[in-house]
Amino acid sequence: MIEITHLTKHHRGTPAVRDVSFRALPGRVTGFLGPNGAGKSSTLRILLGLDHADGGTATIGGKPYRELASPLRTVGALLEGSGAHRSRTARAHLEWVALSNGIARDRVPRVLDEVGLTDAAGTRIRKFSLGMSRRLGIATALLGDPEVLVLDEPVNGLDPEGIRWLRRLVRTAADDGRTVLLSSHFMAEMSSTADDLVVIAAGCVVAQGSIDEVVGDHAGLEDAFFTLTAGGKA
Amino acid sequence: MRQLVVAELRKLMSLPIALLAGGLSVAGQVAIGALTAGGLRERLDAGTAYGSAADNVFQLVMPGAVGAIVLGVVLVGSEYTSNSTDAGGGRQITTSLLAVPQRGRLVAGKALALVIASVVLATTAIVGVLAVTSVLLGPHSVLANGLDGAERGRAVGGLVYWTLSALIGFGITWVTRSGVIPLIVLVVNSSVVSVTYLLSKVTSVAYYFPDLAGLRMIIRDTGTGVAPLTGGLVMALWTAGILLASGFLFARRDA
Repeated sequence: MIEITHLTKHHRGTPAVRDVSFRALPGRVTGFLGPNGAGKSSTLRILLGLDHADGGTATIGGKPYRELASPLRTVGALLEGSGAHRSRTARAHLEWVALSNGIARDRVPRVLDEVGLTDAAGTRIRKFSLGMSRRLGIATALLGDPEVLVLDEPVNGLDPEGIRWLRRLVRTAADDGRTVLLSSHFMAEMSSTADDLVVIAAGCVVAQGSIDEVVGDHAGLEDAFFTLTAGGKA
Repeated sequence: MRQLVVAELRKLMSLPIALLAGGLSVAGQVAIGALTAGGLRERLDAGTAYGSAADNVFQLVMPGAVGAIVLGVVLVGSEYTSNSTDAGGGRQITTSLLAVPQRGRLVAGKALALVIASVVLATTAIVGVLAVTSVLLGPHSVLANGLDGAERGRAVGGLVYWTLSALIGFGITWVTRSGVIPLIVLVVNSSVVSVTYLLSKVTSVAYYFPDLAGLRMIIRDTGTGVAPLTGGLVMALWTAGILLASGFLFARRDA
């Protein structure tokens, strides 16, 4: 389970995350929805131990990320791009990541196959398209067969077939009892993928609950989203 | 920690620029040794050489250290290289910190991997230079009568100098988060114009800069500067200071 409590973060004096609290539960896909610049990535970066919070806590299975031993075996995460150096091959990238967390080497060809990059395993990452970079990033997240997946804007750059594949992947992960937290600014994507939603605008959580609860009396998710996020900015 | 060091070594060996820096530093040093040995032998035969055969041979260890500096710098600089926005941007440091979120541990693991790589490279380079020059210098060969205590000290000094140079480049790059500035400053200072050497003409305090102090482990008979062992200690202190400061900064900064 992911639990975020009263999280606050400023970037050079400007509040980026303001008193954000929510949970993402095992067996469910939690959508983290908000416009660009709403604080989604800032929240996820703190959750993953990359940035410091000014206040509040973010834990995974009750522990801050930095206290996890071999964290990739518990949490798989995707942030910007592939997270790989461009002059390495996809295989070499996954191999060092596996070594760093004591992950069996045979996971490398398996995840490459899972994301459809087997044929590109020996290709240098600088030659990768945006879609391939995202797939490599997802392969890195899956490498440790983690119980928790944190994916920041995973559909960005994926083609329609890729989006469909990703949707199935997160559904299967949740059905297996894993916790999936997925950020996006695409409402259509969220309404077809997520079980629960956390809507964030201008650094504040403006709504959370199941999709039905968030949509409430609005005509649809899009309608609800614009009403909620406009309110958050006011 | 062993797991982390092995992963960092794997990372280093799959980075083409790191392999190039390592390969060129060893090959370049041995090649310079081979190319200059002829002239040196003539000067030694004629008795016009500046310094002994050993002085001249061990001097050859210095330029190779530039490769070690480059290795240290690219090991960190590569973490911060951005991918093109067409490929979604992003930097490897994110993945490295997701894999090893304890910052001090990540810096220590990387530093250890660099020490291992530097020691292997420096040993190869120093053995290579000694072997090549002893063949070409004939009767003046440094190896002909075996290395005496001072010469063994210089060989070890060369190895320490390479390793500490690499660690200094490594430490500074954690602060700058890009290899460009440290590469320009450190490589220019150790190859083209040595600012620290020029400073030493003005003030003897400059002998306590890490590069000049460290060089005293290799070059003995200059009549100036600090004692060899002091030089090594001074360079090691600088290195430790730089690593501690950069590790502290890295631990506090957002990635």
